[in-house]
Amino acid sequence: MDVTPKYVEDLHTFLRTSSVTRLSHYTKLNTIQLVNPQEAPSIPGHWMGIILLAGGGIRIMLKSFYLTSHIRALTENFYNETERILLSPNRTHDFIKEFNNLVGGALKLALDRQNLATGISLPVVTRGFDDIFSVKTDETFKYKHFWKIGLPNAYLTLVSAIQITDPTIIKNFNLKDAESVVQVKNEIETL
Amino acid sequence: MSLSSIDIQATYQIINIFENSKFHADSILDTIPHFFAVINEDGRILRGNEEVAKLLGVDLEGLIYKNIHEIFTEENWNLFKSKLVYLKEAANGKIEFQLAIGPEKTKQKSYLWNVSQLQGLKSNLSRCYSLTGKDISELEKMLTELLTAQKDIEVTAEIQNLLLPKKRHFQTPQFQMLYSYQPATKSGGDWIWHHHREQGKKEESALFLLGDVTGHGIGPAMITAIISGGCHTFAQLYAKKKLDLIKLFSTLADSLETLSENKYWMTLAALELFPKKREFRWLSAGAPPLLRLEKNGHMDLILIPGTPLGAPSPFLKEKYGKYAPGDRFFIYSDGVPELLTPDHALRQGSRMLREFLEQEKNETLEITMQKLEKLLDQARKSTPNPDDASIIMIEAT
Repeated sequence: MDVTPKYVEDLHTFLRTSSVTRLSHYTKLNTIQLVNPQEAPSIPGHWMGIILLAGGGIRIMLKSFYLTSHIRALTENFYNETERILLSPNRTHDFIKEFNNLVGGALKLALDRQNLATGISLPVVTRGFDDIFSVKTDETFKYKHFWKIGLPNAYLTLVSAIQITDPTIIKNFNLKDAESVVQVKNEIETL
Repeated sequence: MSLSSIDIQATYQIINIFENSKFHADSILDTIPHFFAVINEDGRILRGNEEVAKLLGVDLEGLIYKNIHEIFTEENWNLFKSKLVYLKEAANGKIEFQLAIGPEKTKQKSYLWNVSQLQGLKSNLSRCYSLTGKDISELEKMLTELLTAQKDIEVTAEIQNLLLPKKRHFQTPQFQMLYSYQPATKSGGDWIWHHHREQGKKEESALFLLGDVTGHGIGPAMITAIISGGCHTFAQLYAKKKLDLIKLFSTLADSLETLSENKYWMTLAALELFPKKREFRWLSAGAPPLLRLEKNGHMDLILIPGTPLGAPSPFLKEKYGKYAPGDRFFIYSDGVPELLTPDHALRQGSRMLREFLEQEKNETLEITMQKLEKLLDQARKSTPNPDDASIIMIEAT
């Protein structure tokens, strides 16, 4: 079994930390927790938000799986109870798109600080089921990692997939403190 | 604005179109009124629609990883799995079979399943199956009802056959008679009868009756049964000369009007032959005209006015005439001329029937009937909704 290189572990760590801080800030909930489950199911949720970062020999995909009811619970500080019940699926999809934008944007900024310019895709939402057809991604994105964030009864399941074609560019990166730097220097803004 | 920003905006528009299109396509799949699901090899649902969610008692988003076993009995689930083996051999990659869902025999619903194996999946999903299921329990129920109804119709047809003369061909020293009864469905609305009154050893008179109730099927068959019952009672009185035909017609008309409340009418034709005087009497309650083919080949069309039995404001006329040995009489229901023309033009069909019978004047009644029945059989095959067709052929000797 291949050992995951440290620079890949650092990227995963950055994404995990960043996802928790962004979701906490975004939802105005200070009880957001991170859980590392033992096993990832093939389809971790009914819906799936996707965002991709690419450039300079690196491609990183972030998938956020969720249920509408969980997003309604996570947004309790945004809306009153009636508004939450009536929250349309489109609004929950917008929430996830924005969340993926925030996490992807944080990573892009962190990589910029390491002098690696990357492009970021537009966030897209589709059915979680569609992930079973992502054969090419499955083959080319060698490093995969998944985790859960949220509340005990309302959470997102996140999957990161990383492809590195030129390790020399990234292997000396220092992402350990990048997330705290990003948070301090940039006020997190949500739409 | 930079060029890259314009590119991003353009790409955003395209993605938006695809995203919307995908949402709509998914929503169509979600709401189709049949069972649709994708399952893995353990029977866990990866994708399902609202019909599946309803059966499992969850909402659509709660379907993932629900076990499809839950909708089957253990026995039927094992049967379902055993069917999947045949997928490998299936020519088009699909199999179709019938299997019930539901927990108990009494609450089970029959489903028609269509299963195929999904291709091009991620490596950790070795086998996934796409399945659609259609609830055919109502269809099966209707089929059972239809089969029961068909049995009922067969029984009705058997009873109706008892109401017809036992012999298709009947002969006395004075006449020979041949009849043909061809109902449109198994049971029909036509009815035929004949009765002979004797004095000593000689035949004093012969009576031939042909009735045609509006429509065909069980309803009209029941009306013919009522009329037939009335006529059987009449036969006793007819033999004793205690009831005349006019009285019979008016009694039957009253009964039918009372019983069917003008919903069913019946045309009734009666031909009475008196061999001693070589005289005939023709009564028609709205029946097609009597055809008399004289031995010399002259065809006489005897048409008298009259209302069908059961119709309001009834009236009836009768006509007497003479006949000679070798003369032929033809009594028929309107289904006969209707069938003889492709567009069911009664007048044209009547002319065709007359011409046919004239052509056959030198043939025996048996051969003439065989040829006519063949013509009617052929016509019935190309007619979408044929009527009952009956005819009586009589030849005086």
